[in-house]
Amino acid sequence: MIHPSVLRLELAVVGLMLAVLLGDAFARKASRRYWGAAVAAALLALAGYAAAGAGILPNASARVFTAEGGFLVDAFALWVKVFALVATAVCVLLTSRTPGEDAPGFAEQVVLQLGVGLGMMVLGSARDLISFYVSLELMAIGLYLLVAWRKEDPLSLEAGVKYLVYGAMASAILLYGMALVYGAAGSLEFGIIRQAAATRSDSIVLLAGFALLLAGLGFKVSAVPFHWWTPDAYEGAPVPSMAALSLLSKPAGFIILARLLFDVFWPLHAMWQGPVAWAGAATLLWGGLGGLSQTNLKRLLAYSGISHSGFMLLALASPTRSGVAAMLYYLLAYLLSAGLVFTAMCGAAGPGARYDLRDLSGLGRKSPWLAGALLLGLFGLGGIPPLAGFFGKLLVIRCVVSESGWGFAAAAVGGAVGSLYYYLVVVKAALSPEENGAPPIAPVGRSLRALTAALAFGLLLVGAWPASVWGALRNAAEALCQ
Amino acid sequence: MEPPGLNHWLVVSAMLFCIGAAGVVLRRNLLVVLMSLEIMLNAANLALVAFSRYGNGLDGQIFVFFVITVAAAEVAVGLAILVALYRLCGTVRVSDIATLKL
Repeated sequence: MIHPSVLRLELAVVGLMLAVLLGDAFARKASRRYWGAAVAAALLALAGYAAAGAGILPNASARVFTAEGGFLVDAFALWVKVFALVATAVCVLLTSRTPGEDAPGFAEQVVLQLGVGLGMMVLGSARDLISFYVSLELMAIGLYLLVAWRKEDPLSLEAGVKYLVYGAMASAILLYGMALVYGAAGSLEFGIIRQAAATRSDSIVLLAGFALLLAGLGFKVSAVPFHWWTPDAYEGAPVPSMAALSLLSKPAGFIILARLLFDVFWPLHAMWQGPVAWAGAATLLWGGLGGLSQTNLKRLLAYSGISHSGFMLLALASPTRSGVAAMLYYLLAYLLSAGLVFTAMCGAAGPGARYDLRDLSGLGRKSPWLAGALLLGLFGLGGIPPLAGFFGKLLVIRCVVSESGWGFAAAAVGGAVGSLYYYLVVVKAALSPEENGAPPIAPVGRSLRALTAALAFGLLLVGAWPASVWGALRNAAEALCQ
Repeated sequence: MEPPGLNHWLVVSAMLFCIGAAGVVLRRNLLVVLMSLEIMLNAANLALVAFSRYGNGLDGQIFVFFVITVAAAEVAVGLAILVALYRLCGTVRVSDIATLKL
């Protein structure tokens, strides 16, 4: 039995997708000016509704099931939905700048981004292996298309092919893991799998399935040793798709990883803690060091993303509620700061730009607004106080010191310093005097200005006054670890 | 001769999975790589159906229908990207599309 009222947020997004498609078929060209802003406003309104409980949850510790127990709404799932709606709104606004609302295929691109966001919303609520797999693939298939979107550009297609092959292989590994877990536990439901993990922790089939699940998700969050696709996919993808990769796909990976580690496979936590911590430290160092030699902003941001994945893995490696809450706070800080950087990138160049670092020269003079957004975003990523990134790193390192030991904390600080260095290289490039051949900049539109202002405000608010979100994150973490 | 049991099916499925993975890693033609990916997915399907047949209820077989549907969508997208690539570059060989360094 499915209760549609529990699915109201998801159904609203599906309605929005249909509205955009129909609008694309029937609307006149002149009326398309504010489509991006309208869709983003609808998404943000939904996010506000979800943040207020969406009328589904009576209180923060309630759990509402539907679809034969395959779909769960709790405080954690609701927080995921808020995050997904906001991140999708950012991606849609970026798309309305490059390629622009009157470009062919704008509506399709928006529909695919809404689909990716929808996938993340369902993933946060997944309570059995079918909804887990289908929502993950809903995200992945949309992203293959979004990465390969510029089909007149060989780089974009190449990135799309690579992402497709590696992504599909990761999905196949994940699916094989699911099959083994199903065989060992005798059910697709997370609740029964948890019981099986508690009573039959010596079953080799169950453990092999769990390991394959972790490997498949390691790809999604670009954890070492499954990270190599990231720089290529980021470099070839258009900026809005790159934003969808890092603001939707990667957080979704962490969300389901948290659900698996802290709920479904919680009885095995003594077993997964060590490997997750080691993977986190390796990912962090790889991301921190690999970015040092990059001369292309997109590749550099890919390494930055890898290093942030390392931080979040380290947060998950401390098996406490504070670990989950720290990971959720870090994700929020990452959304706000990376969103600012992507917005500045979209404003600073047209659709086909390569974003080599020297193309940024003179940005500070040509558009102080975009340069300021870039600076603030990079400082947020780097963890300069009082921005949110600083508190995120502080919370994670505190968890790491108490749960994993000083060695891992030292690795975290080392990786953070390495990535801070290459953020400063970007800042230097953006503030340096203009070189010949740097592209001209179109005027910054109103929607882009509003987006940067909102993200910058959020970054400062969440950083200077963490209590504004901490209660909600704490509730989400407690709903997850029951 | 005894009839095949759960373990036989699981061994076949593991072998199929390894063949598929080897195909993805080793083959140079992207069309064959896509086919190898399908083999990997079908290996998982075979394991699901085998577990379902030998005592785990029908859930696994329902899951397989979802997987088949998703795999069809994935292949449609993959072939679309390959066609676009072939129109632009005139090749679908892995070695010819290595502009982005790994």
